[in-house]
Amino acid sequence: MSEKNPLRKYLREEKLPHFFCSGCGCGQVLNYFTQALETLQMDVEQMLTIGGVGCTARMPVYLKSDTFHGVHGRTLAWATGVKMHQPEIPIVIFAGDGDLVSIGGNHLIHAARRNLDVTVIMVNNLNFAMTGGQVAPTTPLGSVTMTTPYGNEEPAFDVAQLAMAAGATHVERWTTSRPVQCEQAIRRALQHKGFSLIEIVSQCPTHFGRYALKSGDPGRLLKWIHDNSYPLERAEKMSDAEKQGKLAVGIFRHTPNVQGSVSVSQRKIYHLGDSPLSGKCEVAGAAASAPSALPYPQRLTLSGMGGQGIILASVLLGTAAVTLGGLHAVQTQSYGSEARGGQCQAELIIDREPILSPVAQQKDLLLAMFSEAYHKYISALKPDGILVYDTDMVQPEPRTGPTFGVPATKTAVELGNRLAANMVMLGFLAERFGIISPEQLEQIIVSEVDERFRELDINAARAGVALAKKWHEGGE
Amino acid sequence: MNVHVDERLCKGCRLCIAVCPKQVLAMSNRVNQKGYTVAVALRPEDCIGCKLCEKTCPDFAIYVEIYHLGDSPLSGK
Repeated sequence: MSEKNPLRKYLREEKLPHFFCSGCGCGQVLNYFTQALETLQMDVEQMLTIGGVGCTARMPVYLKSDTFHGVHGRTLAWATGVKMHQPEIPIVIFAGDGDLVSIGGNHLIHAARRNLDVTVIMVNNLNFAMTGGQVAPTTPLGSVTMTTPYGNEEPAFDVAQLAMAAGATHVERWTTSRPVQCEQAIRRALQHKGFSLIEIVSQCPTHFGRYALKSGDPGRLLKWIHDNSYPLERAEKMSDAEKQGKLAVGIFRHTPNVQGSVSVSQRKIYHLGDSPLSGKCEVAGAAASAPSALPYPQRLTLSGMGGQGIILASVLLGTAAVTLGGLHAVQTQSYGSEARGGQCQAELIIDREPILSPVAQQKDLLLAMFSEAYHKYISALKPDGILVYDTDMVQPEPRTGPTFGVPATKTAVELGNRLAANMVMLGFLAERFGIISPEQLEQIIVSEVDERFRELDINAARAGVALAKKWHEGGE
Repeated sequence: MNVHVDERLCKGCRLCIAVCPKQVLAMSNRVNQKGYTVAVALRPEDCIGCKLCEKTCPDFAIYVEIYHLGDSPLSGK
């Protein structure tokens, strides 16, 4: 950060760069908040900021205020407790849409009803972003998310209207594309006595952008948000058709201690059976005959960096084993809270018999594509287990068991996209260890992978097979 | 006008390039410690000091320094 930047004094600089994805709206809102503090010359160290769980909830971590962090949805409950004990402390709550209106929805309406003297800054990125882009109560009708592949069939919450109906005394909604208005809104909220809610609709390039808008470019998403919102002042001149599907932004209410009226709109009730999904789900039948010999290795850990496609690789391998190989497979996965750049791992157990436990203490094979992940998971590998690592990403310590270094990332870069490194590895695993055959791997890529990446992934898998063959001919 | 870009903090999201009305900023070909290609102030002489890039940047990576008459680093030299 530039030494002359006056916002330095509000931030824990040792924590920067922050963990938000490239182009995330949360970072922008943090910027707007510190700008508002600078304009008001407020002492951040006398404040209490609270975050629950989620991307937005990480914002207090970067501020030099006192901080509570980590109970999902209960930010307002904490704030209520602190206000009962020390009502003079200014409290700012940073919550995402999932945190505030899904898990913490009940706290929101009651805090608004009580007119609790707190400032709530809600970053609405229209989905559950930290957990992988699932549908949220704020996801627009019809939007494709990770869990609504045929489009969201439920109407979204209008959070500003909800808070007003519950009795909030200061309510505004803006978008991240309006930096000046956001900063002014936060300033008004900080000065307001009573419950204030600032909803800032934000881009999520990593999840909502990719799933719903088919673009991960923050600039394009910012423009989409801007184009799909209109200022309240212009609402009267606009026709209903023009307003359809768009969000109004502006100051919804700024009158202390006035109760709002409750409006109920007609909503379609869905019953089991008329969902667009019904009848579309088929259970893939296992292949006719299960092979007699068990493939080796059975218990695998695939590990790497978030974004490398580790989870996808494990899902492909497991799906191929079940649908094409006639075997049983169980896959579990875990990853750090960062959507990009943290370590992640997938455990895969493949067996001819039904699998009774999804967990295996000792692994037969570890695939490591990231040094952090290698150090974390190497201890679970059997001494004589197989280590397969990416030579560009991992420098393994000397060991006695079979160890294979595969230049997967380098090979993928040569093919045009480093993200195909996971497929190079799958190709290598298929050819070298025979968990599934290279033909089955290609078959599963064709049926499971998005059309845009199919050709690249098949080429990468073939390159991996070639690497394994070369290794074999070279006598290891 | 002097546009500082902190390459340690930049994540190459290009939002500053999207909002700049004068195309002062552009992507460099440098990569920082986190692996992001970083932005660079290519034409600082065109900067009008609106600070939109600084206000928009999600990563606190940009600071626009505005010189007023008299406090130029050159004055008195």
